[in-house]
Amino acid sequence: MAAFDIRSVTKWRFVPSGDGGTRRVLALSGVSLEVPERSIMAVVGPSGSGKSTLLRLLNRLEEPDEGTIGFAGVPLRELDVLELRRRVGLVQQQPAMFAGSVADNVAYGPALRGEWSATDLDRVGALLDTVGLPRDFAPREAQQLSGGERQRVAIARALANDPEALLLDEPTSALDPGAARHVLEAIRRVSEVAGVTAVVVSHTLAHARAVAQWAAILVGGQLVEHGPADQSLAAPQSPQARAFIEQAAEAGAEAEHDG
Amino acid sequence: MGDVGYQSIGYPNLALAIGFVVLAVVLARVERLGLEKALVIGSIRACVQLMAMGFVLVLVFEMDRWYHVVPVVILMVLVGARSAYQRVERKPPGLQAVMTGSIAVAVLAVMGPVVTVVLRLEQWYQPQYLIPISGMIIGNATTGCAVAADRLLAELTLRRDEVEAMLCLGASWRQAARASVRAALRAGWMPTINAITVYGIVQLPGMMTGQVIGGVAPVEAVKYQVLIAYMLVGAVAISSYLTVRLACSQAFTKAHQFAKWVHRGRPQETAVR
Repeated sequence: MAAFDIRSVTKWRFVPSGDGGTRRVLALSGVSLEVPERSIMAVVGPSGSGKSTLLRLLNRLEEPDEGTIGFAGVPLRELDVLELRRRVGLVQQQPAMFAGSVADNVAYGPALRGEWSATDLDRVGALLDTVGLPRDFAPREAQQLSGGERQRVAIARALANDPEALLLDEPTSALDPGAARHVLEAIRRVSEVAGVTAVVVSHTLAHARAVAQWAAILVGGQLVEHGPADQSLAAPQSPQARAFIEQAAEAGAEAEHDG
Repeated sequence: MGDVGYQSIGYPNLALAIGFVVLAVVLARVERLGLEKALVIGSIRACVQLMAMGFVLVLVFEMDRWYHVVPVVILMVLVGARSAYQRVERKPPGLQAVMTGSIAVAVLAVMGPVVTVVLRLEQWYQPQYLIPISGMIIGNATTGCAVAADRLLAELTLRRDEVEAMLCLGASWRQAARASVRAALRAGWMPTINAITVYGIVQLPGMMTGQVIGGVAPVEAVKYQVLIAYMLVGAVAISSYLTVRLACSQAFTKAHQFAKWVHRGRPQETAVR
């Protein structure tokens, strides 16, 4: 069964126009996609292709202008939105850390609902284990952490809600290769251990290949390719997808060359 | 008040005070400040506007029907709310109505008990009391509402990622906006708190000064001023609280999302490459 069932979704976005006003551009155009349960799907594509917008629709941070989205067989609009967001976690590209300790951050969701709090160090510790952070991080000031550490605290914070799905927006884009490897490892572990469905937005093909079983390629707001990751990311069928993959492969090689 | 009179100023004597403005104009000319015209216009406007207000007050103070006095207060509320609205940079939909309602509620909530219980006026609508006291309350409420509403939007924009991170974890918009609401209310209340904190030390408030010159015994004038200070605190608290609460609810949808107009007004993020 599909975790997410996205049907003919269209979304307009307002961007600043040259004259100081705003103009409307199509962020997503007729996108239909199924995300299989308990799998990791990578969503790749050039900058501005609608990847992040798609994620924001999946936990109803925004609404589609046309089309419908289902989660676990139920249309999103029929679910209580706060309960939906507990079940579908979203980790931002550069996650905002709340004032307070790492434990305060991790326990934010459960504390909201009065389930458990930051003083429950066993639960906090177990979540830090899952994302590969040492347990003695719990009392640290969250806003003092490095990018990779923040990213992993944000994943632990989302996992504390015991979600069925996790949406990750460019989880490795701001990280050095070492930190990126840790984060990817954490995502893989979460999917395997907790059985969480993950949708990972990325523009780094190597990272997408490293974690995902499924892949979708967005170009200019349109879904140009989707299928098993090893096929879609290696030998895509559509010309737009092929052009993107070639370009991204070159950029990746250059980045590696530059060190 | 009785036998203690005040010194009346004759118009020719008042004209002598123009000498101070002339002094400032000469200084501005010598130092090439380019302020001569602004000084002259400002001085003339102050005179004309105050004279006009004097005549209006003569008329208003002669009013002896509540249905003459109350419309004047309503007009003051409308003008105050309008000026508060214009001072806000990013305006939620319906902000002017929100501010008008907030200030009106604050005036009612504060004036009502004071007129009926504290002052025990013979007629609750006596314009000599109602008009100037309402004016001070509305003035402070206007500033409080404008500062608080402005700050709320600035905070929500600045903390946008943090607010959305909270929403993503299942927080309601009220929970997610709590820090922004708090900052906005603090900003709205501070000017009034700061002002009354130095009453009597740095500053003799205008009303008290006026009453003392007018021949009221200082201790009586002080009692009035203390009353006014506490009324200002109440009015600012009520009006800015209502404004911030209502404006904040306009910044979110029922589905606990940022309203579209909040997204639209902010610079589009550029992808990090």
